[in-house]
Amino acid sequence: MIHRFEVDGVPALHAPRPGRTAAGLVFRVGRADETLARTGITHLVEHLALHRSGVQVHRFNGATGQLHTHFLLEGDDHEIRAFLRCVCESLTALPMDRLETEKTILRTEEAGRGTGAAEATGLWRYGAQGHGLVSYPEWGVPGLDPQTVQHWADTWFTRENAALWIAGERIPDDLRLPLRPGRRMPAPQPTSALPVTPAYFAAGQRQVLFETLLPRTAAADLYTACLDRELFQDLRQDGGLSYTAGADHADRGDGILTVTALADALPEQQDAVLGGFVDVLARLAVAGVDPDTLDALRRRADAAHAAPDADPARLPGCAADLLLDLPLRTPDEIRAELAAVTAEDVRTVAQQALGNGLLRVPAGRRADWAGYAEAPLHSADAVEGSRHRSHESGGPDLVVGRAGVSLLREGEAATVRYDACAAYLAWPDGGRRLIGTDGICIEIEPGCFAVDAHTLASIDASVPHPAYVRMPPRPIPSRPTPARPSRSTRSSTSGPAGAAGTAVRSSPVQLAVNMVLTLVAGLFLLFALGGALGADDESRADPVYWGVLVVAAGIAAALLRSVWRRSRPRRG
Amino acid sequence: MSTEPLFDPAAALPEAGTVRNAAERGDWPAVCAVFAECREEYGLLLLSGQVAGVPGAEHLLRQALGHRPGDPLATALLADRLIHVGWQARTTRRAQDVTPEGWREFRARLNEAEQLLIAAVARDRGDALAWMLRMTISRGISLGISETRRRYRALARVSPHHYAGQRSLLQQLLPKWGGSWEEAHAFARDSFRAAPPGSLNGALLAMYHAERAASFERAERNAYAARADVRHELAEAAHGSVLHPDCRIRFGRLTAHSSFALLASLGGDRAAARTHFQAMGPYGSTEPWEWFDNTPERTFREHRDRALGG
Repeated sequence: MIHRFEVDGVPALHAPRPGRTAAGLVFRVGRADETLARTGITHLVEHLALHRSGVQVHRFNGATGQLHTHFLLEGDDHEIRAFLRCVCESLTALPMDRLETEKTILRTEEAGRGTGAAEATGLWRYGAQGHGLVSYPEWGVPGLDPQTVQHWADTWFTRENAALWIAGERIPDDLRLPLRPGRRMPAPQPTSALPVTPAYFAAGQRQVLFETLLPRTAAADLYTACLDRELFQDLRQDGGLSYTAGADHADRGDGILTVTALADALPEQQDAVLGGFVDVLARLAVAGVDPDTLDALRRRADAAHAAPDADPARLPGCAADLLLDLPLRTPDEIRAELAAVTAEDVRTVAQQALGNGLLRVPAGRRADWAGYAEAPLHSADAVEGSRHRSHESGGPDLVVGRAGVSLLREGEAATVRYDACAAYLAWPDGGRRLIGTDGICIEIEPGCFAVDAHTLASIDASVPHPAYVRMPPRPIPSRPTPARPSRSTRSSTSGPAGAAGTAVRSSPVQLAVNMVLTLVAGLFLLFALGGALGADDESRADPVYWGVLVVAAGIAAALLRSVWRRSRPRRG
Repeated sequence: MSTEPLFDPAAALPEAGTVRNAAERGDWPAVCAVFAECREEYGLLLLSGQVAGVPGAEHLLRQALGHRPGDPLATALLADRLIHVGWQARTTRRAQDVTPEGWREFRARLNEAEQLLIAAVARDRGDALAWMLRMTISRGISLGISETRRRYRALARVSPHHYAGQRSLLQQLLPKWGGSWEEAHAFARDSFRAAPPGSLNGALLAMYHAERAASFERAERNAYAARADVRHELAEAAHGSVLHPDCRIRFGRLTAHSSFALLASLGGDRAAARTHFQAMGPYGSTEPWEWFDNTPERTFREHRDRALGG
């Protein structure tokens, strides 16, 4: 049973759990609340708030998500009291002496982070705003000053915008959450960069990726399980075309599930994998799933809700839901909903999933033949203004107008209007990049256009100040990169924008890390399986015994998931 | 034999004419009846081709789908008609000579057909005609060899020796569609050997050798067709298929004999050529003669007269 209480005006949840107590403080703020020019500010606050706790010997962590930021700790009552108090006090007065150091740590963290499905599809679905910001580097971090950072914390990390959860035998006495007062923040309205769905874009190699949005229901849960099974069956078991083929979902945080499906392919099999993938998506939407398969998947889903630690495991999600006024449901309610799902319900969800879908096909392929519209690579129109020829033969013309900037080539335009400019990156060497809220990107490299310094300076002056991002010096490219429109992101130091979006295989170091993680996961899994199969009667009756096994299995699953995430391609 | 050969498929196969007439009249029940009677897989494709060639047939087929959404036969026939219309817009010109509008129309029609067929196989994975047409589309809009192969495998799961599907994959495996002579040859040979005696599949070897011969200059064609290994393989294929005593095939039989006859005639094997031309009776076929020159009917007649004369 989850029960509700309150600490210093902050709503709180408790679920009983044997062993050490775990606690989490959740705020309704995440990357989707930022702007492109300030990306990383929430993450920076999270790091700064945890700094003082790090001096003590705690098992703690912080996580900045799309809509929520979590501070987590496992420990005894005293440690939990101290941690929560320390985090809250830090948030009201962040240790700004650590600002530059934490910025460096964030850069290091970013360099080591792989990109998953959300990063690959975010900017295509949402543009360079809201939930799409997950596709972009934390460009805002280097330029953040102490006032801006503290202001962000004061606005978002407040009493009214927080929730607490405790998993343990009891609620520790005398908990305090000395936060500033503020107000509850609603979730940002999701944006869209896709005029038509289902849509597709081409990027990377050796992989087909599908992403879609569904309301969080038991039918959506079962649809994901069906998609996972059918992809594996068709592409791996029957077709022998893929090694990895499956689907999973993640909670976007506002009652919507982001379902992602993925299949890998050898270069010579990419076309067949794409074809097979399209057929599986269509089959579920047209013919649905057979009732026996559905029942088997339903039993598996139900077992997860019936597990002894189901309540404590749900706490972080429930606390996050509380902040968005989403209903808290009991496991019995969830299981009843699951039991009521029919094959026809799943088919209806599959149609919705296909209708909302965004498909990433390998570079050089299309999916218009299967009824997916091409996601926009260009702008609908260009700005009016002075036109400047490219120094590169066949290069696009640059148009600088009062309303914005366009690149024009062969009747196609890439336009970033100043009033829809998400970020304007300015390098000390004169390089400039404009990124529109729709994700369209224009690069202006020094010396690439027959344009005078005055006109270029006029762009600097016209861009809205909040979008301006002063970039640190970058390595000089061997030859000047021509200006080009694109919908790329991570090209600031890694080559021309056009190269972004290409898949990069795992480096030897990554491979080694993945192998070690897989091994460790295997040990945990063995431990859990051995324990489950070899339990004597006394152990069978002991909930702690099962608790330990479930935790071991959970760790194994988390490690394997991390390996999976790491082994997915990242943007160039 | 001095009579003029009859080239209209409907002459030898009355169903072809019946179904074409029914489509022209807009008589959907009559169209369905002809398909319901047909017991040969290759026949279904030939009959579908007859309907697809009727101008305006798409209206009848859309109407049929309006009454029975998702009807497998109406779906497949409409897709085939759209493929036909798309190919008319593309014309048979070489790829580089097709106009941009031609390409646009071609892609649009084939995409529409493909989406109908995606739904058809989603409803029924055993819809052989739909898989067969999806192979044609895969080749037409260049979805890649691996995708055409995947579609063939799906078809072969339903019907392991599907002659039309094998003809389509054989085309994809030729160098002109991105494959190689070796792959194509191996596929034709393997398909023939795996099929039951007396089935049409041996004619795949005739198709392969005819394509190979057509790839040579005129002077080398005859030498190729006269090669002992080629003659031997073709004789074996003919006796294992259309010349086999168990062969009861009607649809595709004429084209098969026609291919064997052409190769025998080119290779100077008059006896073999006579056997095949005689087996064709009063009928002619422009395949594969049209791969060699622009006057296939005249060439057919000349070769036939030479083989049967004197």
